[in-house]
Amino acid sequence: MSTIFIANLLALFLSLFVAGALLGAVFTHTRSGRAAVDGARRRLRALIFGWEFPPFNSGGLGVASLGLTRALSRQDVDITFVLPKAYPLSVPYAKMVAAELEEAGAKVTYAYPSATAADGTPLYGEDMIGQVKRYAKAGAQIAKREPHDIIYAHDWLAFGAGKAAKGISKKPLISHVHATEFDRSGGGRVNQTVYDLEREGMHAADRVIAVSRRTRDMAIQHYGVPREKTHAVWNGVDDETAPAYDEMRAGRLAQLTRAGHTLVLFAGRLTLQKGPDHFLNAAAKVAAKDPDVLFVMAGSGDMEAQLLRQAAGLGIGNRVLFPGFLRDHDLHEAYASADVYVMPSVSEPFGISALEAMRLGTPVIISKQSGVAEAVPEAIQVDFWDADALAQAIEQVLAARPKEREAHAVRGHNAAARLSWDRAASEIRAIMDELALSGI
Amino acid sequence: MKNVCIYLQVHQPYRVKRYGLFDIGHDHAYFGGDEENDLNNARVLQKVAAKSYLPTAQRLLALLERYPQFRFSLSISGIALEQLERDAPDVIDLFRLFAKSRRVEFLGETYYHSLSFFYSRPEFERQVRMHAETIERLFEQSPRVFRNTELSYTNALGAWADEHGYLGILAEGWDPVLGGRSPNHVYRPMNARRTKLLLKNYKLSDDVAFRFSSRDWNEWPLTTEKFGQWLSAADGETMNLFMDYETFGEHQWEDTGIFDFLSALPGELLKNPQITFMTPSGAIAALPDRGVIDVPHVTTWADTDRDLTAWLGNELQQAAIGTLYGLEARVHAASDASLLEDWRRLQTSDHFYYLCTKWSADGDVHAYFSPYGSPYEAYKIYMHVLKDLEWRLRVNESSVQTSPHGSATAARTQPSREAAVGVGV
Repeated sequence: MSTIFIANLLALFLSLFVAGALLGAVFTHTRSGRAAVDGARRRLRALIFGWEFPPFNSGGLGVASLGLTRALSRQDVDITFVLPKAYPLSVPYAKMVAAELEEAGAKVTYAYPSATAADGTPLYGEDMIGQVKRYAKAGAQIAKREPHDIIYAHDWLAFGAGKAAKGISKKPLISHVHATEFDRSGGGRVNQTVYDLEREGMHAADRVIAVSRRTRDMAIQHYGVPREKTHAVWNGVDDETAPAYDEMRAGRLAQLTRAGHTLVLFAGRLTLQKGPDHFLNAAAKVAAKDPDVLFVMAGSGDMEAQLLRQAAGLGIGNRVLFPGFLRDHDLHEAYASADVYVMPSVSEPFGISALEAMRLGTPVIISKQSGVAEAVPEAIQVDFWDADALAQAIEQVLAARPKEREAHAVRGHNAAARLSWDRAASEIRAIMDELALSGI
Repeated sequence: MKNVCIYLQVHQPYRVKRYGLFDIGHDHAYFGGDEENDLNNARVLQKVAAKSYLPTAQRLLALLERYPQFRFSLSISGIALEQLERDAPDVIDLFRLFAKSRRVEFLGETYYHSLSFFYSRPEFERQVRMHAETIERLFEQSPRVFRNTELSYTNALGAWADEHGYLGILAEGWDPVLGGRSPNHVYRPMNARRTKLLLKNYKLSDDVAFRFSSRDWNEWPLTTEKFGQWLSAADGETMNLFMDYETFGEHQWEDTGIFDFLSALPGELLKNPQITFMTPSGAIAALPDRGVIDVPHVTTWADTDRDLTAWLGNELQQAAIGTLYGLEARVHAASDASLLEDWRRLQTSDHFYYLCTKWSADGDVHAYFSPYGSPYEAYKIYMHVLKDLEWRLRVNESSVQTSPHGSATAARTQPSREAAVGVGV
């Protein structure tokens, strides 16, 4: 199934897209994104609904929102970026708009991962579903005030707002799936309310963009989204969302490595989806043979107490350090200082952190159950549940000779460089153009 | 005759400040919390001195002056003395007046208020010696009666005290070990030739220490008259009232009337001509022992379990203390005084108590006293600090290497990659 189409009628600009032959819809530009912009392309006004934005974010959704917004602005897209709440944010590449929801009323016990800031305080109060619904209502009002050609919604938290905006302006809507309830529940119980909101948001959209083929297939299989309106666009990494190698080299953790320790890093929410328990099982196997290795589990989450007990119970209480949630400089320093970064997610829509670590020259081991595995075939991949394989992979990386290590670092660094946000934005711009062309 | 034997415990740990991953290998001042919170040891000490140590000492001195029969005993951990000498020397001056009265006995314990008896006998004995030397220096007394951290006791400890010539040892008067007998007598530890055992009357002690201000208690308010009647009515020869010194003014605040209770109690009790006050040594000398107490398992004075589970009951506590004592040989081999002192300060039982989860569901806010947000936070901090301690050991070990003749020499002649670290530290 190969498709060729004209991307922009007005400028008679031709873009060539080749959909993946078997899986169908990963769009790969035949020309680099920047070079293709010749200035004659029509400017598009995008009304984008988000939920979080760095530095007011708790994870990958915020990082992707920033990376994509900035890169889209270089694709002749004028962006109005809406957040549920006003933050002291000002960026040169988008107009930031706040929906100014009133504070949460009744408390519910079901809090969502993205609901908290770095220090654990709720960003939107505990009534997350209520906030999502109020955000949807506000979306309609904002669509009346803010002129736009296309509407864009980042994840289920903003899908309702996107759908409401489309109801007002009748402009095309793109829903961008960063994660599904099936990922977040990590094989556990799916929250029906969240599932319904996700499904509604995907079906209301003219196009559904997922962060990986893995996630796109979930949209098709679990949410019944027609295959032909789905696309997979991998996340990226660049200077704006992650620091470069050289600034991170001489870190505070070098004291540990200088004392003969090797460092194996986990960084993510301490919750079922991220597979932290599998990490510990592998850690126990590696620690039994290697007296110098230390494991760092950076993050916070509902499984923290259980993991502390698990590590102590496995007899590696003195080999696993729990520094809590790390962000910005601390997090990137941890990536750069680690001898290997492990992302053993049970279900990971993409996994930007793997790219951030690779960009810093750190070898990564990722689970086969992650979207990023599609994008970086050069990374070591294991099944999340296979503690033996994970332990072997860790040992293999730690045992590598300096030359192998350097080669590995260069390969990873180059792979991360290939996956820029500009590449992602160029693919998205093409999807926008296709929507404009088809006259939806 | 009926003897009242009072023992008050004075102790303050060196609390570990908030210490993170990035501090390892950089910051070795674990106990130097300087923020305005309860991890600032000097701040806590001065607060407790003002609320409890000083006002209680003044009242006790007044009682000693007024009632020639009044006697009591104190046990003060070495690290509490150390902190008092540095941050609240007035308290030491008053404690010295206790010693001058010759009616206040100072008991022996481990300098670091540690659980070392259960992990390392040589370390335990060194700490007991250190403590005795400190008591001798400050109060010109040699401890003759011993009490172990948290009033922990077992047959093995009784035998140890006997071997080391103590007149007596203190323990919890816990019903299962008494087997129906009264705690209000002098007893003997298993297999002891000379040492005697004094058991805490936990009911009468806790009426003051825990229940004094509790309005839910049907005996509230506790008056000296009422307490005096209970003591007079109790059977036996010695009523052992063992509690924290900080009961007066800190656990029970001044506005509960605890100071008035303390000041009025001796006078009220002495109205009964049958009642007298004795120190532990005095009671042991004056009263016959009434049999042997068998304590095969460890008892303590903590909560309803009266065992060590408040300190060592969960995996976190076991990982923490196991790691700590696992470093013992290396710490001694390092011959580094500050490293040794830090290792010992980390032995204080409070560090393990902060990791206790037995009264709470995971993640809940804890109802018991701890300067940390949760036992999990305390554990993460403590393990970071232990990693830094081990880091110092590694650096120390790599800076010393064995010469061809087998003697240890500094690595300066042949610097290795690891040795270079030591120089930079």
